[in-house]
Amino acid sequence: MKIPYLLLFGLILVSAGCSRNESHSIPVASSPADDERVPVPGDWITYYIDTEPDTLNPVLAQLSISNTIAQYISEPLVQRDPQTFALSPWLAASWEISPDKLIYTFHLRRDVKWDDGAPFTAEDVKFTMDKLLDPKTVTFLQGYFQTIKSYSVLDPYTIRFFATKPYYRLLESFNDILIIPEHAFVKGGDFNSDPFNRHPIGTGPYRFVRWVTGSQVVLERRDDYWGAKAYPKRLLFQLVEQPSTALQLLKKGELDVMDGIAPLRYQRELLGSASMARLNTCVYTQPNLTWLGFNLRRPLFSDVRVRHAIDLLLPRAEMQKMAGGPEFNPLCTGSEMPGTPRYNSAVLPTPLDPVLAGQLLDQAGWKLSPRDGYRYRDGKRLAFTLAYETGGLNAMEVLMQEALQKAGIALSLDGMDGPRLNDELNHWNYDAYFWGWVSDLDDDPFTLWHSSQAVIPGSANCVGYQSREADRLIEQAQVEFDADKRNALYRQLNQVVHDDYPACFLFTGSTIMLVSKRLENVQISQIGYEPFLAQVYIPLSKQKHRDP
Amino acid sequence: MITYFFRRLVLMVPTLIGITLLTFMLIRLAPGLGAMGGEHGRALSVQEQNARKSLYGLDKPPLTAYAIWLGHLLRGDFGDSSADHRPVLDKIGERLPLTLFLNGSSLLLTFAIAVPLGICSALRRGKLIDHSISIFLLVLYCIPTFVAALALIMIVAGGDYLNLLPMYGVASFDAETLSLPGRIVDYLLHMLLPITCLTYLGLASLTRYSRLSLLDVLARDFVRTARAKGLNDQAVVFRHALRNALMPLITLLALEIPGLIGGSIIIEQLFTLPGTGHLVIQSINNRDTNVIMAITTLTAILTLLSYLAADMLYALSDPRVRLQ
Repeated sequence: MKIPYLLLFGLILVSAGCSRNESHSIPVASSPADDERVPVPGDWITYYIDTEPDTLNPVLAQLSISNTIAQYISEPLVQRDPQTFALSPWLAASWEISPDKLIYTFHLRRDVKWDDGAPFTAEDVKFTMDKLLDPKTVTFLQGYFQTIKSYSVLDPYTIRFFATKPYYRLLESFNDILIIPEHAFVKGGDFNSDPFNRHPIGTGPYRFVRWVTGSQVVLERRDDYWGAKAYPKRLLFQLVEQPSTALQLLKKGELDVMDGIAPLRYQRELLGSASMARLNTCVYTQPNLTWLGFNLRRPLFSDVRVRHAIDLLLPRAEMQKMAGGPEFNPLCTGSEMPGTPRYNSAVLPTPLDPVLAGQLLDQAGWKLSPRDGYRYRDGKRLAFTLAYETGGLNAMEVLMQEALQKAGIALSLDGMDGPRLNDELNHWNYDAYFWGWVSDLDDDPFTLWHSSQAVIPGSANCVGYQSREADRLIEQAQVEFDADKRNALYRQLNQVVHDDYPACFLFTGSTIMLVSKRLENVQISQIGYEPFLAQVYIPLSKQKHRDP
Repeated sequence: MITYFFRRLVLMVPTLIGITLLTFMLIRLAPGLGAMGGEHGRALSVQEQNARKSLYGLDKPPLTAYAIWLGHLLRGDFGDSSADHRPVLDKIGERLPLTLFLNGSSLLLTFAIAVPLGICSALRRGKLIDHSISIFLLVLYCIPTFVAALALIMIVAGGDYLNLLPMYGVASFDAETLSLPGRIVDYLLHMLLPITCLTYLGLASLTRYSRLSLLDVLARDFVRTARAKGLNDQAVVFRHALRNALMPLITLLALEIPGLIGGSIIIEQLFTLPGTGHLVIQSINNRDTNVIMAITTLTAILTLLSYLAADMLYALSDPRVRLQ
């Protein structure tokens, strides 16, 4: 039963591959429906996910994959425009911010309905906020709303928020939180374990159909959606644990979209393979930076010359090549993404300079011993341990070890799994770490670099960076509502932080997404987070799936 | 024998407490418990961390936490998963049928293939067929499961070579459009590669066991007597020798039972099969204490019971064995 079906499947793919070329050479007098340029509804899209979502309740989501799916079901008050990145109206039709930036009034759309037919009102927004700020709720989002003092519903379609102090990112935070319906939850029940979390109801372009544990999440297009209706009839988020298995499925044509392919895998296993004829490549950058962070609380790293010397010794070019090359992994000089207005392009990546590094270490009192080739001060060897996450090749760590050893620094490697590394960083129980940092667009570097955070275990400032100058810039930017002026402040911060060497900033990551050529109108913004599948369509001639 | 049975049953209680205590302490002492889910880059404030610690009982000393866990267990409550706040038993329950089916069918298949091969080897001891079987199974035994699985996926199920079989999951993602018989065929086709991978590895040792066991019996006096009184070869082997030779295999079968629910982590991972092995890995990565504890406890109980069952079966099938 299955085998002939699969053969048929293969044939469809081959003919689909041909029809594209033919349509160029043979003019076909076709009805508009046959024209591939006219968007048509229908068919399913299979989207590869590598982790099981933890929940589909956006307030509770701890994994980004949960949000990737939930954003098709639930929606925020304000949405980021994928082209300009400006915040634009969504569930909120409009809003006013008082001149002192302390009162935010949102006027909601009146034509929005939950997918069970109930109207969407300000009470739902209030309920979402109540649950979000409830100390019993297990969520990562509370930090975004720390400046909110109170909020009240003025009428069914108006809600007002009062802030404790002006903060540029507050409006942005309303993009981070997707609204959930009050009526769908068990009254007085435990929010963390409510049945809703696996059977969500939303206002978005898709409605939840089912979630098969360890296998798939299925969504179905809403024909009564208030906004621009989606084209694909169904979205299937298919869980595949092994990237190599997923790659085979993609080559077979069973997956339409595979996101998050590492540049190295792409270059080795996909480029040049026959299946690439059926696939389009999209590359987008994520605010995802790799660096080597120092524990500044350690006496060894209290001397900036030592940190600077280590930075000068890192073989950036080779490491970059190992990650995927300059094309996919541009070098960076701070916690901001290269190419964004907040990035200071005047700050140049540290060059490889072992001579200068040697001089700095000599000045700091670490002298080369002819006996074993390591550096010593007061009889103590210059040595530290690098904590990093195991998995993959872990060849970069060895590369750094070799480079530092040549300069007389003994680097020990301590590989561990993600949860343990997180734990060690939270408790400052490390010398140096090598890891990535994922931030949001237009994020506030407060938790990362502000002095007040350096003394809080578990804060993002785990390196323990403290600088008056950086604090001043961060605090000034928090109340600067003019984006250009704020970006100028962040460019200054980029310089200040870089010159203090709390970390050796290395490179950013790109994400490669492969999309079947069946899909038309694939539009991914530079950051690639938005629910783009809704506006993708499949020309009738390439549609594969009938409705069940 | 009944007293023996009950004594063993009572003795299981301290063993079980020992196993669970050890596991619990290992999880509690393992680093990384404080991170508790989420992805790097989203830091929690101290208040949030403390709230979470008290929610999951991490603010209590390990022994107290264990006592609380044990108290819940006695009431049949395995607690909730920290990853998604669902009851642990629900999570295991929805995954158990698949793992049972996979491991059960591969166990049966292993016995169905290995025992006849062993008999064949034993009856033609030292002949070409005996050596061929030995060498062939040895080669199979030497191929690690993950290599075999990946090779099979690539060769018979991937997009590059033969595209004959499904390579992952339990059903095609559009299985709902198929008729009921179509769905069953679809399901079985999906199980073909995983079951093959789970089966081939066990063949070598079991074939050797049954071969050795039969040879052992064939050398006994009663077999010589049977032959001496003129019974034909078939009757000697199948009616007299084989019955005795299969007895040790019953014990082996009983000892395989705990493996049925433990799941085969590698195969489930490679084929993305949502079974218990899959859940074990997920829970360890998430430091999901309650799930790890529940699976360990269930496996421990089943192991202890099957050891007991093996001993009892042995006594039942061999009147010379007396259990004291």
